[in-house]
Amino acid sequence: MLLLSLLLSAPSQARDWPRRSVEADVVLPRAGLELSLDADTRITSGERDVSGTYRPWTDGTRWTRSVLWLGVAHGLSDAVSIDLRIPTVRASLTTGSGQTTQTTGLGDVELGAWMQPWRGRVWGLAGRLGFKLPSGSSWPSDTTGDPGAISGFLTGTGTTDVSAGVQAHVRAGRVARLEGGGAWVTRLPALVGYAISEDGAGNAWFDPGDMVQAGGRLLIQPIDAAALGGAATFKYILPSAVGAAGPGSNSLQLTDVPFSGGSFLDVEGQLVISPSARLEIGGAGGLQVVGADTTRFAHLGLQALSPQPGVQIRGWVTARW
Amino acid sequence: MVAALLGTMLLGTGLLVAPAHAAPAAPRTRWQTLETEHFVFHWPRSADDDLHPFTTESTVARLAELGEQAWPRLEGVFGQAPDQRVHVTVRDDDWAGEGRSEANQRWIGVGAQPGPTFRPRGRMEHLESTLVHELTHVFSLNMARRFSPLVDAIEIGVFSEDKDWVQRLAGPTPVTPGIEADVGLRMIYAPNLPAWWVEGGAEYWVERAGYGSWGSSREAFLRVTVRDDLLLPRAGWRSTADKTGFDRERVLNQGYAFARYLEEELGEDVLTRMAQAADRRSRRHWDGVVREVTGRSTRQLYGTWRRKLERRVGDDIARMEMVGLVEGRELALTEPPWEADPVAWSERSHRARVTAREGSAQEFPLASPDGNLLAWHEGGLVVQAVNAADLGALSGVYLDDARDRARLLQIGRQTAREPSIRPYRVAWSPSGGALIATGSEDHGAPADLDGRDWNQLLLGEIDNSDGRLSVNWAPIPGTLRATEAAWSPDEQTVAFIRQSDGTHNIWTVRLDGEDRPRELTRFRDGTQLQGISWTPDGDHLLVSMIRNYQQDLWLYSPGDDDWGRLTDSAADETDPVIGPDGRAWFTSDMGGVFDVYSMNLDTRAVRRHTRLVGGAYGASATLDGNLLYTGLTGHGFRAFGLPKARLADAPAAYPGRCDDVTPSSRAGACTDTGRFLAYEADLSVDPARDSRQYVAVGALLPPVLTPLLRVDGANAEAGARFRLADAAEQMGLWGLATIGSSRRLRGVFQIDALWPTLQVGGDHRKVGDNLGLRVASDTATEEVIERRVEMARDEGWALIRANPSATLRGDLVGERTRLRFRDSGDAGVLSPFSRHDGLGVILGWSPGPTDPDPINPQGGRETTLGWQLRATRLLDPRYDAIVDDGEVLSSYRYHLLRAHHSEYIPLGHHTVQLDLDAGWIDRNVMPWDEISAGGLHPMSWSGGSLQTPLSFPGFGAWTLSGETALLAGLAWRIPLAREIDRPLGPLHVDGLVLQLFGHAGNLWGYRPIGTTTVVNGSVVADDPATIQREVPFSDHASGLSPEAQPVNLLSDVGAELRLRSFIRNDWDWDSFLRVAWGMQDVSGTGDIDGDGLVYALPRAAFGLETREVEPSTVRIYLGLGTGW
Repeated sequence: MLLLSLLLSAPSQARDWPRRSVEADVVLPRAGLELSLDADTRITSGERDVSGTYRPWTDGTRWTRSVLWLGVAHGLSDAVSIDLRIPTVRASLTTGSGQTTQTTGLGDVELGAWMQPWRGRVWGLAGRLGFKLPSGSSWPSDTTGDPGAISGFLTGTGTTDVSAGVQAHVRAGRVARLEGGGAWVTRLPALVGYAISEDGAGNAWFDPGDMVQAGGRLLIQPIDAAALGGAATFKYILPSAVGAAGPGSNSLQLTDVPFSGGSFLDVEGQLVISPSARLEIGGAGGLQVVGADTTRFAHLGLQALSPQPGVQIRGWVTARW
Repeated sequence: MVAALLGTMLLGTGLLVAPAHAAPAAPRTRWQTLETEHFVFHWPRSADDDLHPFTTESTVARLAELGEQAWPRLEGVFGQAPDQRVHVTVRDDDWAGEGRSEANQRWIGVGAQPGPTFRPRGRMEHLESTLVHELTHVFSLNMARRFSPLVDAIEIGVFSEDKDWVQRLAGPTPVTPGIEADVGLRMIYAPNLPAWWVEGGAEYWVERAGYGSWGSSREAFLRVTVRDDLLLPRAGWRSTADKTGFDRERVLNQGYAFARYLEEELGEDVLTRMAQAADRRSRRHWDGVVREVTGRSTRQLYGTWRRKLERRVGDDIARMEMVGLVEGRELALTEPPWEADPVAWSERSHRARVTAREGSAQEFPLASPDGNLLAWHEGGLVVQAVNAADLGALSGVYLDDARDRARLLQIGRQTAREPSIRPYRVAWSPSGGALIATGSEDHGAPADLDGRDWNQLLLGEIDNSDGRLSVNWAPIPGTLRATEAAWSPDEQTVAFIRQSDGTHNIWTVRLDGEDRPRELTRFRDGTQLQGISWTPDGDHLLVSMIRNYQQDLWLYSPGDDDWGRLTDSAADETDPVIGPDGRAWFTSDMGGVFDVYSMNLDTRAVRRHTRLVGGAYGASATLDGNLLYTGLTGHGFRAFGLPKARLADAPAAYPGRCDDVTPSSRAGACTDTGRFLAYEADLSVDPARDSRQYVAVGALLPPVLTPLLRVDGANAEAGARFRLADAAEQMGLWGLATIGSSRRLRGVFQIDALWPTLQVGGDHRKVGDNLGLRVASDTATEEVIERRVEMARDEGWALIRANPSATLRGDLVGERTRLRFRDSGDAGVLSPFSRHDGLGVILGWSPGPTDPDPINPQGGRETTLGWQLRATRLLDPRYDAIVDDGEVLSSYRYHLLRAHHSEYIPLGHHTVQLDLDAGWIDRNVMPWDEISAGGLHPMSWSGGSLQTPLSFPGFGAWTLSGETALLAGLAWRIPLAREIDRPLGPLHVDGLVLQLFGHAGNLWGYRPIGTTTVVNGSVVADDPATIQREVPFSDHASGLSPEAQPVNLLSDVGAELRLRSFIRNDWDWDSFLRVAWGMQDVSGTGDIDGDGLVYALPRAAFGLETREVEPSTVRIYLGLGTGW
């Protein structure tokens, strides 16, 4: 909040923002400041088995994970933008009997930089270097490690991600825009509080599997004030591994966690309202259409490790200076 | 478990070190604000009854007029202008002659008083040159910096302690390296704007806007630079940060000259187009910008410019020599080698010549009326009993070190120095037994207790009675803010120039104290006066007046408040003084160079006495008719002497002299002085009418952020440093915020509007670590388990700081710190563990170092004394108490005393530094309350604003601790290369220093000397009364001693290489490699050996050692860009 108030006290020095969303570059105008609130909720009432087959929970159990993202982005120069997103996570599991287990806390922050050294009149190509830092709570409320004894959820993986990616877009006049891109996400191993050695005396190393992401979006904007879009996101997650130090040394053997990787595909429809160039309000709804085993880490509540099936609704407000 | 963790994360609690802060505010000062179309001006006004009354109201009126005129002109030059108002803060109590700017914040600071820069730059209107120069920065830098104005730089830091760095490279695999190394790297990415373009361009654009000109002073400065082979190399003028003295001025001078050359060759907008080119695309080097705009490389352009310049200056000097130079020689007792054999001297290396001539400036040589004493400024005032026969410059025969040893020793005894005297010309009493100089308001006082140190006239009585010369100084009451003084012929009255609100006036004061000081003149319009002396009849005062864009000689009659004009010329006449011959001696650039002239006050006939290459100021004649003057050389201002016999003495046609005998062409201006003096610029604003009270919150400048990414051991965090302040620096908020696997939120809010300064701050730090616990299940079996643990330290403090003088500081500090921990099973909660409160006083005295060069500080000393009353309370309900040194501790109070002294002893360019540290706690305390020592890398954030360990780099940070500390350090710094001034990749390298060091000392704790029992794994004394303090150098320090190896004295030796360099031109990027050998084995609780493993307490139950031992080892510290 302190940083936000500092930023807000800065008078606007950015050049004009593009009026339409389809005209926007990935990088912000120099000195441009963008603040956003982005809320998403995923509602799950089933799971995927080792074959990726969706199996609804029959007893009415429902898993909900909502994230409120506070985002700050700044146009560092004409070709580089930096951004930071701070999530607040609320995870909730309601069983068929009406018993609810719920956790709210800071999630893992994401930050990065977009670089767009070249751009054309109707196209753009940008690169991104990103990080996910383990600021969330990765400490279980108990040390048994038994999925059957859940009394709370984690809000962070306890591990660091480093990602590199590209995104391209092409515009058709002021009406349509097609985006596509991909990224490689390296997920670094760490000694984490939620991985507990079998004797319960120490913690274990966890190496989440690296991930490949690809996605695309088509945005149609017939008028200045509104646009409609459709998006698809594909993830391929490599298997994760876990291991503890052996007695008498800090030697380490990591073992793959079975069925901890796989492919996931989500689709989404979007509506974007732009009352002015400096304000954008959006909403989206989507669902997971393809997925792999989601039971490995379900008890932790970490979407980053096992993306749960179900529908997702999203809304955002973005203000620009 | 927690105790073991604490052992690895010892946070010694102690004296709080406050962050740097702005200059203290003047007491009882009220600020005003005035808004114009493009500016917001802020200025101070003291209370009416203040003993130091001041305001800059009339200066603001002139600046407002000037700024609004300059704005459209600069807009025309640059083709664009800032889209928001520029804040201008105008101060009077400091910043003499200074301008400052923060271009991205659109802020300018202007000092109302003219400073000394007119000597190398030429006499210009001070306010114009300062304001417009800084305003061009706001225009040009915002145009060229390419960065968002909110961001000043981006910082990336990587840091690893002990063996972590190897583990980071190898990953979570078995690693047991035998190296203790702390490695840090700090990279900075910032706008790339070279100093020659920034500063030289500013000077050039000032001229383009019509507010300055090249002039004879700048030309002379460049001429002697070329003559003395001191032109900055192409690589050397990218940065001003490493420049001092004339080299700093040379960046501006050469940059300006180069800009004018570029205009001549390539058109007048070439520098402006560089700003546009820099804005368009990022480049590694500025050379890319130059190439895009000019089609040529900087190397080509610089080379061509330099060759043409050297040829032109050579031709100029040759022409001068053809006409005939009349120059003095340096006022030295023994002959300077460059004068003895100029040819041999010129064949010496450039570095040897520069090194040999390094030294402080000499200014204003003035002989006593009887000619037996000589006074001049050289790092203060020097008064020496010498006569013309001793000075080779006047007699033609220098003293010889061997032949005239006795005389040299005698002169040495008859030399008095007073460092506090400020560089204005002194005034000898007509009888020669005393002199008046401009000194410090606080001269003779034990301390400056009102926060001010204005100028004040001092009367110095000469005592040369016992073969030793001394000067007994006493303040002259009522002469605050005086610059120069003149002693009336009857020795009763002193006339002096006093400055206020950017304006000078003449005052008088009687030395017998009968009358209060009287203000004779009533200038309020920025008029400046310089060089004051009485005519022999005591009826007039001779001064040089700067007014209405002219600097001329005037005679003022105090009796009838009447002005008579001596010159009305296009030249500048400076530093006049009445000589023993009754003539007015002065310097003037009438001939294109500031030469020495004299004027017959009756006939107004002028004679020219010198023909110099570099020029002169502060000239005076001796009783014998010899000439003394301050001469400009490439190496600085030096005192020169020229014997009467060698003086040029030709009558000079002096256009513009006000000749009563032969009316000049401008006689009208000479005689119509009333109109000239009555003229006042028509100012469109009236600050008294149009201003409003300053509100700091309403005058906040845009914040400045430095985004940073930091990897520290196993943790990564990202965030930004920030700073926010108002235009008048009445209050400031700064700190940093990061988030990640570690996080930090630090904020400091300081109010400088009050005196003393108030500060409150908070610092939250959360870190995580991987900890290996050595757990014993019986006497023979040990197991290591790894755990992820986290700790948080929350600290808040309030501080009241008084800076009664530049060297004294007193802090009253109250603070509270809380420690919290978390490990498996704690879920999202960091459990409070302990609370630490403190209230104390810190006194600091730091008259030095006199040379603050960060790579090799020299001269002076620093002393700090501190006392704190502290209280500690254990908060975690899971622990009733903590056992330390056999005592069960949970809640207690104690006193902490700390003392530190550093002495910086110069040995030529080498420095010997002596450090002494002592600390004492009046009772046994928990480990994290003890005083600690060890080597701490500058990248470490573990210390935060809490106590940092005493420097003992041969041992790991926080590995040594105790309730009593005595430690001495000795370092010898040897400059390996100075003034390197060369690029090295992206760096600009300035200097390399080798430091050899050693420390000796120890820390002592408490120990039970009676029987003990193991309770819950801890050794507890059966009788607390048997727990006794270890006596330094009598008991061995048991807590730090391995069982079989008691030590009384720990020691280390080591060597350090320091590299002073800059990145992106002006950003400090200092690096070091330090190798230290801790010569003894040490032990202690926690991770003493830095392997990431600690003993868990249950070992004690089996009678096993619970303290780790680190064998004597070599520790390596490497910091790249981290400072040292």
